[in-house]
Formats: sequence, structure tokens, C-alpha cells
Amino acid sequence: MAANLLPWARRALGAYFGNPIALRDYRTQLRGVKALVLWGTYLFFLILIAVLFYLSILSSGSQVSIAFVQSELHTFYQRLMWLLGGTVAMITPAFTAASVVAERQHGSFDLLFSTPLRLKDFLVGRMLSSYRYTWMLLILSLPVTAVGVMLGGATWVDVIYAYLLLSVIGLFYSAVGLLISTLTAKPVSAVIWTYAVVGIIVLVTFIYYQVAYFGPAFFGGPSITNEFPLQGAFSTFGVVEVAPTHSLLFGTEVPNLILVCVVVLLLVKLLVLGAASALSPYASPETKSLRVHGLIYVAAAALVIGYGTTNGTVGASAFAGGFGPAAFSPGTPFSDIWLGIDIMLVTGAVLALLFIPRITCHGRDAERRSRPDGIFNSRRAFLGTPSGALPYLLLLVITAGAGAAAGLAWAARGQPDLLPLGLAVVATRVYWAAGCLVFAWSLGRLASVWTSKVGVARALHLVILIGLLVLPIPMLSLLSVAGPDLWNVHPLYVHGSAGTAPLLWGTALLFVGVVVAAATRGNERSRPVRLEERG
Amino acid sequence: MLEVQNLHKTFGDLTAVNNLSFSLKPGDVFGFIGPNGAGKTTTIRMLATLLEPTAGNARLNGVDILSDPMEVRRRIGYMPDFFGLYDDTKVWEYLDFFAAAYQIGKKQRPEIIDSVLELTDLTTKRESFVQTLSRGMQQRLCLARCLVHDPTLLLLDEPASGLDPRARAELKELIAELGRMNKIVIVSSHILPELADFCNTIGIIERGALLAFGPVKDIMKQVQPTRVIRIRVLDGVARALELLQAAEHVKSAEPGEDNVIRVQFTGEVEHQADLLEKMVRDGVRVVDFREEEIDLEDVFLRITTGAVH
Ligand SMILES: Nc1ncnc2c1ncn2[C@@H]1O[C@H](COP(=O)(O)OP(=O)(O)O)[C@@H](O)[C@H]1O
Ligand SMILES: [Mg+2]
Repeated sequence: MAANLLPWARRALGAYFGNPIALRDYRTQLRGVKALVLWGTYLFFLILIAVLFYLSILSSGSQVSIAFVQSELHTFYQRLMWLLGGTVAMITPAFTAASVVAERQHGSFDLLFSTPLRLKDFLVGRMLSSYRYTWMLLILSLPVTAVGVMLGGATWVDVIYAYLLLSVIGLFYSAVGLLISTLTAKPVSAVIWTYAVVGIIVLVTFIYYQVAYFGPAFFGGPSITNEFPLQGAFSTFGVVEVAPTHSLLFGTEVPNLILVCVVVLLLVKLLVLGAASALSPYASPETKSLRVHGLIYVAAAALVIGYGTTNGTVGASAFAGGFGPAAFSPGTPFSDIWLGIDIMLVTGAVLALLFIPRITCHGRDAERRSRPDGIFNSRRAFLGTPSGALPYLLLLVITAGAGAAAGLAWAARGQPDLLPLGLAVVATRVYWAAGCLVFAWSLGRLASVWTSKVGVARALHLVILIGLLVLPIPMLSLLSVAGPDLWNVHPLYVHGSAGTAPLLWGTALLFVGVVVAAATRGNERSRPVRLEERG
Repeated sequence: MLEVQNLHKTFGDLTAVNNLSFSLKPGDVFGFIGPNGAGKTTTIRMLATLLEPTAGNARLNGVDILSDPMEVRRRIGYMPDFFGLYDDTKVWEYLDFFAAAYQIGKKQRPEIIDSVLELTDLTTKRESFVQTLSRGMQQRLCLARCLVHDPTLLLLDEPASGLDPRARAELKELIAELGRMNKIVIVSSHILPELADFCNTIGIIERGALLAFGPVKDIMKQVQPTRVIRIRVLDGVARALELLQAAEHVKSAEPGEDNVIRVQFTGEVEHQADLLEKMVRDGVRVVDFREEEIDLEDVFLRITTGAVH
């Protein structure tokens, strides 16, 4: 046992220490005058802006009281951290966005992968090289921040916490850039896509943060405590406020700093695995690992949400005001319960949107992992081929349902009367979600029939899915303003409605999905593609 | 030992490599020849485990490219048809990076780097930046990179393209040396003469299919069963012609300018020696007697046009 552990540990650590890619980049990155000029310019502007902040604060008031000066100095510190937060969000993803795709364009991809370099080592090395820049940004800003501390706007502990949060969130943005870099063919499109996605993330996390920060005041929750819902803690602009707070997780107070680190590291792992899977061939261990991780993550998230919404002890519930075990009592309007989770579900749906075309579409021009190999084959759920797409999607929904049910049962222990209602809610949502996925999946099959090019099919599928979700929104808004609330018709909102709506919608989508999929069967039959199993 | 079995690759409806089978043993320097788009790069990339075959397989010393690509990678050196050098990198750093990628320990690396630099005659360029090297030196550096892990099989895709004659000659010498080091070397080119003098085996590929495979001599013979002997006599051309036309294995004998006779000969080398002996004995004063070099370009054209119907 111990004898096996040592080489394993050496291999695992080898990805981080003595990584060939990271070492190579380390030798060349900071070479020459160019780097010096770049960092000098950065520092110059940082100091310039800090001075402007300081001057604007000095001139803003005429009263001189200790309390006033103190609050102004805190404002100065906070603005500095906003500036840093903006810098991290702006600059960090650009480094990784170019990294993989540049190597591909440069032609050195083939050189690297004709060596026994593992995909993981390559990606981690690329990440480390880019992430070094994030740390350079932060370290170079220390003298400026130190002025803020010396003036008394914050303590060093505040600074360390805030920097830690910034660097961890920066790591997350790096990983997003890395994944997009592996999925694109040109550096320009990699950078554009990365900025689009990171922009959305910055916006969404900022909204979460704002809602979490001001939310309790709106919803009449507890006003000034150190409790802060975790989903609001991922904004680069909130690090000063988030640093000293904690979340309630299963009834325990856990510092948000730790939770953010853990969640980000887990997400980074998932993103790097995604990148590795995207670069790997048919039946790769990376794809299998990615899919297993996906199931585990979904189960864990569902467990936490299932527990939290029932018990009111997880941050998600804070959006809807603090509600307790009575959440599932017959009188409570469902729209209230689900309000806080709405944003998270929408985020999840958007992520799923990007992911579904990738695994669903097939093309005869493609590598073996994306060539048509049938409609449904449950044994290929972890193989990554198109016939495994639907089994895997269904497995995801079922896992999510199981996780939510487990969390719910745990929270409702001792209150057996709550359980059946809660489980019924979970079951109808699982059915509805399965309907949505089957429908979304069938559109990918349709797109793949229309063209034999897998790239075109994926783009088409994505456009159709986004169109179906976005196009009804203006009309629904208009109609709902004039007349009754029609939002429940929209598939992403239907979960909030009580009664039979999810069941009806689930059935309708399931039916359409199955019909469409059945119609695409002929495509595979008429033009068979040779696909030998690997011996 | 490299065994390629029914290697096949399609891109959509295009068959790039069509059921390729051959095998090579250590010390073989294999010239892989075919026009542009014939499927050489595709084949080499499949052997380098960079591209999945649609069907078929290949084994290097019993290790399968499909089931154990990592082990195969440890044993091959692949030089693509482009350089792939990193700017702002020094020669030794470049080699050190690849040595690290081949999981060679930090302590062994300097020694290995020195030895491959020595072999490729780049020792003096150790500290230079790669972008400052000449094209020929860059090509040799790429070759040095493929050698850091002492591979069994070298895959060199069009290594000589774009080099001046001198750099080309140096490269040829280096490749021949690798053959003597008992490695299997596969060198591709679209020009046959470029390869024939230092390869001991050649294969000619067109439209993905291997049209000919074997030792250079065998292939020449296959294409051109008769050899041409060029005989120059001091005088008495008419008598020499008479004699030749009566001799065994002579298909035809035609007089040319300057007392030269071109003989189409079907016999082996012994018969060739006998012929000379006979002529001299019969009093023909022979000034020059030699086999005419076969035009390799001609051989190549003959084989390849055969496939286009
Ligand atoms: N990735 C690819 N996608 C589609 N067709 C390709 C791809 N790579 C090569 N081909 C085609 O395969 C054929 C063989 O190409 P290649 O192996 O590069 O030829 P060579 O190296 O002998 O010049 C060509 O017709 C080429 O267009
Ligand atoms: Mg080529």
C-alpha cells in the first residue's frame, strides 16, 4: 500500500513542482526589457489612480471628525481593492485564454503530445505559468495597499484575507480562460469568448454579491451579522466585505474564505478536467473522470440545496428571507421558496447549454469520439460518444434528484409529515428536468442530421437552444405586465409553479423530444459509418 | 521492430491512408516517398500516436500504438514538417524542456544535452537563442530534441525541405549515423533522389496506398528489369556491335556518338563481368564499361503514374 502511494504522490506532485511547461515558461516569461516596461507601466498607473482616489477623498468633505476621517480612509482602502479586483478580472483570464490555442497555432502541440507528457501536466503547467502573472499583479500592488494600511483604513489581516480571495477568484478566471482556450481554434476567438464568459461571470457574481449584501434589508432578514450567503462571495468586487464573514453550512458557521477556496479549487479541477477531456481522444480516462466528477458535484450541490431550502440554514435561503422547516408546509407559496435558487438554476442551465451541444452532436467528419454511434447506449455514458449523451444527461438529473431528496430527508428528520410533500416536489422537478434535457438533446440530433460537420452542428444546436430560451422573454414580459403572470410557461421558470405545471411541461417536452429523436434515426441507418470497437 | 498492419485513415469521405502494411527492423533507414497529399504526414502522425487510425494498428517492439500510446511515445522521436521552436528560448533550455517532458531526471539532463549537441554539431550554440540559428541549425536542433530520450524509432517528416545543399548533406550524414546506431528511422520526402543514397529501404506511396516497398535495388529492378550498360571503345564500333548482339543476355545494342554503345542488359552482375571479359579477349579495345545510373526521378514517375490509371 505504502509502496504504491509514494510513486502516486510523486506523480501527483510532479504536476505542480518541476512541471516541464511551467519551468520552461518561467525561464522565458520575465526575460528582457519588455517585461520590465510592462510591469513598470502597471505599477505607475496603479500609483497614479491611488493618488487620484486619495485626493478626491481629501477634497470631498469639510467636516473634520475622527469618525469621518476613519470612514473616508476605509473608503480609500475599499476603492483600492475594487481597482485590484477589476484588474484581476480584466487581466488574469487573458493570459490563459491565449495559452493553449497559441500553442496549437504555433504548431508545438504535436511536439508536446508526441512526448509522454500527460495532458494534466500540460494544462496545469499552462495554468501555473499564467497564474504567476496574477500573483505578480497582486504582489506589485502591495506597496500601494500598504499605504492604505498605514493610513489606518484597514489592518494587515484584512489585506491578507482580501488578497487571498482575489487570488483564488483569479485562479477561477484562469481556469475558465484555459477551458475556452482548448475549445477554440484561433487566439482571437479564444480571447473574445473568454472575455464574454468572464464578463458574464463578473456580472452574475456581482449581482449575487449585491443581493446578498443588501438582500437581508429587503427581505427583512437579520440585519447586521457576520453571516453572508456563499453564492454572493465570489465577486472580485466584494472581497473587502466578504473576507470577515461566514456561511451557515448544515447549521455550522464556516468562514467564507475557506468555503470560497474549497469551492473554487473544486471548480478549477472540473474546468481543467473539461479542458483535458476536450483535448483527449476516444475513450480517454480524462473524459470518464470528467463525467464522474460531474455526477459527484451535482449530487453534492443538490444535497446542500435540498438541505438548505428545507432547513433555511444555507445561504441560498437568505434571498427569500429566513424560512425554517415550514418551507414545505402546504401554505407556503412555492415561488418564495425557489426565488433564491432561481439565479443558481439559471446559471446551471446556462452552463448546461454550453455543455449539451458538445456531448450530443455528432458528425461524420469528426474524430471517433464524435462520430454517430447510435441514439441511446447506456454503456457508453462515460465513454463520451454521442450515443452516451442522453444516458449521461438522465443520470445527471437522477443524481441531482437523489442528492436533493437526501438533503431534504436529512433536514426534515424528526418531522415526518414534511417529507412526502418535499419528495413530491423533488420528483416532479426531476421529471420536468428530464423532459427539458430530452428535448434539448433531440434538437442536437436534429442539428447533426442537417449537416455532416460536427462543429457546425454544435454551433447550430447552441443557437437553437439559446434562441428558444431568450426569444419568448420579451413577449412573456409584455403579456405578464398587461394581464396574468405568464412566466410559468417558460421552461426555466416552470419549476417555481405549484401543482401540475411541471408534470405537464415535462410530459410535453419529453414527447416532442422522443418524436424528434425518433425522426433522426434514419440518418444513421442510411449512411452507416464503420466504427470498430477497440480490442 | 516496427510492424504496421492495415493502417487506414479516412477524413470524412476522403481516404488519406489506405491499408498500409510494412515492417522495419533496427538499423533500417526507410525512405517514405510520395507526392504532396499522398498521405505521408498522416501515416507518420498515426505512428506518432497523434492521430487515431480509422482502422488497423502498428506495434513498436510489441507495444501497441492504440492500447499503450504513452509507452510508444517514450520510444519514438517525432520531427514534424515544421519547426515548432519557441522564441526567447536558449538552445539548452529548449532541449532541457523536452528532456523534462520525457521524464528524464534533472541530474541526468545536462549530460544528455551535451551529448546530443555534440552529435548534431551544435555544441558551440549551447547558449544561443533558437531564433538566431540558421535554418539548417534549427533543423538539427529539432533532430537533437528527438534524440534526448534515446528513441527506438525516429519519425522525420520532410526533414530536408527548405535546406540548402550543404545543410542537406550534413543532415543526410546525421540520419545515416542514426541508422548505424541501430535505430529505426523513417524519413519522408516527395523527392526520391533525395533519399535513395542513404536509405536502405524505400516505400512509395500515392493516394494513401503503398505502391512499392523494399530495398532500393529491388524496387529499381522491379521498375526496370533491364539495366543499361554504357560501353566506349577506342575503335572498331561495328565489330563490337556484332559481338554484343550475338552475346547472351543482351537485349539490344545501339551505337551512339563518340564510339559509345548503349546495351540493354538483362543478366546479373556475373554475366556483366563475363561480357567484358569476352569483349577484351576478342580484341575489342574497351575504354569505358559501366552501368548507367538509373534516373530515380524517372523511376518515381513510372511507379506513381501507374496508380492514376
Ligand atoms: N485533418 C485533416 N482533415 C481533412 N483532410 C486531411 C487532414 N489532414 C490531411 N488531410 C488530407 O489527407 C491527404 C493526405 O495528406 P498528408 O498526409 O498531409 O499528405 P503528405 O504528407 O503526403 O503530403 C490530403 O489529401 C490532405 O488534404
Ligand atoms: Mg506532409
